[in-house]
Amino acid sequence: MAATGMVDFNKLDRTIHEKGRLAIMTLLATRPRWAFPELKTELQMSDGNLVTHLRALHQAGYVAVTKEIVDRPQTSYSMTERGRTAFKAYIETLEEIVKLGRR
Amino acid sequence: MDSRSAEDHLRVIRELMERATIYRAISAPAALCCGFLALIVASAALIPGPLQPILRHYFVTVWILVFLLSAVTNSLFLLRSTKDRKVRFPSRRMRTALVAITPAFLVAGALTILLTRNQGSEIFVAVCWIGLYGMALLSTVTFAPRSIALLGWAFVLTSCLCLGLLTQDYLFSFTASRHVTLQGLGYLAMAGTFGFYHIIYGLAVMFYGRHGNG
Repeated sequence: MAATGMVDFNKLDRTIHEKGRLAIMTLLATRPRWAFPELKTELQMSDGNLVTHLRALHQAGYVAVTKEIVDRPQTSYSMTERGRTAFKAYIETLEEIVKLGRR
Repeated sequence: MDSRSAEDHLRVIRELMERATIYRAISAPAALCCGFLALIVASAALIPGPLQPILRHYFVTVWILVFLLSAVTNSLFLLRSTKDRKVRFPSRRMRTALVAITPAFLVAGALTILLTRNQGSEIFVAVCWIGLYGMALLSTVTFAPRSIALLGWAFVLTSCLCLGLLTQDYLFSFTASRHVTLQGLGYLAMAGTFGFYHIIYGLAVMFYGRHGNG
């Protein structure tokens, strides 16, 4: 267990910590559902990059995938309860690190 | 991870969340078009010419037409923006904005019906429209960029200032001394706010960069 001062760095979720996945989790936290093209436009990521990150988050159980046909096939993504808890814990850990640095 | 990079991560999260929830209800090019349209209409009503009597007589009808034309123009620009971003029209954020602004527009409609029953009420109709339009913009303030909030406050404060000044005596002396009719005063108020304010907003947004047009 790697702990510095009061902060346990193992609490920093490595799945979320990656820059691209953190951005995806942040957007998913803002509203219930995001369509793939919306995520792509907002994050300025390539299709391949976005799909890879979303797959990793889905495999971790943080993101739920919904496929539906509205005029045309559309895939949308939402944050699961597990993902929300993990994201909250991740932010709390960051805040702890910031607080520790100010002491 | 040190404190500095943790702060950077938190800043990125905050900025991304703000960007994702911001919605600009009036696109800059649409504001410019509507601003110029308001100025052209007001000029035609204030400068003597063939259109002046018609425009002065149908003050409310003329501005309702200007409003509808402006709404269609704004919708077309927003539609183009959503197409560029490959998202559905109307977007979720646009629907939220419409729900927020509807009450102010309903009150504006009701007040227009009430005030137009009296002759010479054009300036009061104009001031009500200015104030309620500002309130409609401010109702989107929780998810709007700062420029929309500033535009909303400009309209609301102008309306408050006009309502404070518009006493019967002041109006009588102002119109008599400058040979301006109450309709003319109404056109001046509309040109100054819906015309100039929108042009200033449109130019400022275009100049200082975009905040998401969704």
